[in-house]
Amino acid sequence: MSRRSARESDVELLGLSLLLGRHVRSLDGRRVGRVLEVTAIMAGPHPRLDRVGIGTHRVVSSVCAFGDLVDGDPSSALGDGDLVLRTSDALAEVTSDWAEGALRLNRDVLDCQVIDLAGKRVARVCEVFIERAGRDSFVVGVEVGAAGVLRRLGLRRIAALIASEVVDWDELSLTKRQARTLQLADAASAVQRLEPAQLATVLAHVPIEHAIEILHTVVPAAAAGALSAAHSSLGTRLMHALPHRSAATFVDHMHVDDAAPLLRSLPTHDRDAVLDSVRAAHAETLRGLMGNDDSAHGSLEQVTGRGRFAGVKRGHAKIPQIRARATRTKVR
Amino acid sequence: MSRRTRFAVLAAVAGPGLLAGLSDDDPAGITTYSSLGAEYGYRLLWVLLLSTIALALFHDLGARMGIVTGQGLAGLIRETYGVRRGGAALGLLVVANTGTTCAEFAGIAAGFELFGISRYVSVPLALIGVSYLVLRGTFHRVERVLLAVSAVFVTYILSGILAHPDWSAALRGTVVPSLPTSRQAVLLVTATVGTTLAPWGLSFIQSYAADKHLTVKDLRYERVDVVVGSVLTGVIGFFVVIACAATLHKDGITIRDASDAALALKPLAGSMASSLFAVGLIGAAVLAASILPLSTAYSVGEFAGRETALNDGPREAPLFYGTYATIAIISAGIVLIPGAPLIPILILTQVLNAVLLVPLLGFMYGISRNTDVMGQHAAGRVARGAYLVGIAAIVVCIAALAVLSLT
Repeated sequence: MSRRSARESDVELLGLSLLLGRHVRSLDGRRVGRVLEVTAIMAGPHPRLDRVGIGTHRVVSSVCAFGDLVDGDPSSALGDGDLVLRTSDALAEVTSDWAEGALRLNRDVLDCQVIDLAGKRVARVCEVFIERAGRDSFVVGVEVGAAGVLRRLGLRRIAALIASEVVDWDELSLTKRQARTLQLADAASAVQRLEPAQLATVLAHVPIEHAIEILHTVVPAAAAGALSAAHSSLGTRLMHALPHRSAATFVDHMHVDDAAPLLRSLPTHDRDAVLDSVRAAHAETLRGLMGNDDSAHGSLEQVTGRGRFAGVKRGHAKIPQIRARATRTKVR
Repeated sequence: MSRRTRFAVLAAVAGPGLLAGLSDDDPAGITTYSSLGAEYGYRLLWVLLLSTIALALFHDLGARMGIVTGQGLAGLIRETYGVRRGGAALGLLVVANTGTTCAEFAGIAAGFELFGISRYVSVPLALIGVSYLVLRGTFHRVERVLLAVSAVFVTYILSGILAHPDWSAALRGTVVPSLPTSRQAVLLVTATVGTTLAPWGLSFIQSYAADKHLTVKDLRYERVDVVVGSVLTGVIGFFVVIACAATLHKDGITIRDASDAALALKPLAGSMASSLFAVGLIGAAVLAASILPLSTAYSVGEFAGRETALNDGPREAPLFYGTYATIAIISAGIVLIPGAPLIPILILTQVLNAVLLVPLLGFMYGISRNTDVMGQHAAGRVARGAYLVGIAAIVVCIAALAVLSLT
């Protein structure tokens, strides 16, 4: 499940926003600054927290390892007390490359835009959840929606009335976009809940490589539904770009009347490769259906059936170009 | 690239600067410029020149931020300065914009009443018209219609010429600064700066440039669009001032609002000048009444991280269109309530706009120099210096306004 209610979560999570801005004290009780930034290393499915940037007035002046910070007042339920450095030598002078190569959770994730695979803006990150596991801590998910915003604005009572939406980190991917270093692409967002016709509309509005990605993100039945509902020219392009095994999986979930025209657009060897991976009975029905009217229809003409390609016989002039483009896209 | 191609690209890019600039000449702006001319003749025209320069400077910054980041101001403030400061800015912006939209609908009502049409007819019709345009139109249709509405501002230029101004005095007043040492003069100077450079205009131009999907390759052309829009805004203000300076000031007539000015012009400059002035007022109000809810809807959507595109329908962007409809309906509704305290609402709005302008410019300045956000388009030393001078001048004006209001 891509989203879950925070109130249902059985894991004790620490919110990044509760760490940011808190005072940090040295062992002798001297305040050394506030938490301004927390970095994480992108290793494994969940980023591991690495360092903490400490300073004043938005300028980081010293850093320490995340594990070297402990709560000065463990009884403070909201975590709003000072933090204390675990050892006397935990603090180091900041260097210009202190966060190089790392994910800066305050700058790059908190309050950043979440987009779905179609590039539509769906929400902003209002909280980053951290889970402690021994001495290591990991980013496990983010919260989006109004509840987190209201809570951070101090409107806790109103926030409590609204269910939180938490997205697991492994269902997000980081993407480079415009001036921001990193943003999030919510792979399982709205597309998971779309009707076949709506999903087909999304597929029609994104580059073909994104469309293929989306088809692999949703369940096979949904992908098959979208392929059936898509305009024939889009369906054909997608079938040409799909790997054989994926195409076979989707064909398995399609009605034969929808699958036959799409398969017919493929070159014979590709069509056979797909049909070899389809359920035997389904494949036999499809072969029979295509054998009956193979000469009557030419689905390539749905792609190239206008203008100077109107007289081109089924498929063979245009298909290599389409496939080449799809191959390049996949490599990239 | 040939000259013809360059012109075609410019025509395609143009829009954000023109609309954001011209919508600043709203009824509140026309009232301020009319008072400036009626009370001080041509003497304070230099204030308009400086305001126009500030307008070009900060609208250029807003458009650049929108193009480089692909985000509106409210979203960028939240991303850069956190949810508290972003939320505070958004809250003030929504309240101030609602009040200002009230002023625009009040301007529509006053303009039509000059032609004997009741506000209970004109305001609902205007509400339906602007809502239909934004809710049903695509980005390009909305832009084309709003630009066509902007053409109505030419009536102010005609009205100014028909008033037979003293051109040499007008030129002298534009380039030779002089400030009468009176409280009223300082108030009018501050009001002129405040009405020319409005918070909603700054947020609108950034969001609109992002919604238009302009790219960094368009920056050069967008700058032309901003400068042309700002200059036209200043030119229209100039003609409003000289129309009133040549007539009302000469005869010692003072006014309360722009519709007063239109009425007062009739015996002095002829019914044509008066009618043109009134038509200009209606057009200005309709343009601003379309853009203000739009600016608010962009800001709310961007703060929440939701889709804010005119090309999407209400189903794809419910928060965006919901905000637009809510602001427009509430504002028009308040104007239609018999005995509604419009004057206190408008004064509160002016104060909020003034309060909001300085922190908003501060945020913009901070973002403009942030290379994490702006990359290679971050403001250089000269640009930063110009922004700081502009902000300092506005701070002085607002401080003067605050002191004079409290004494």
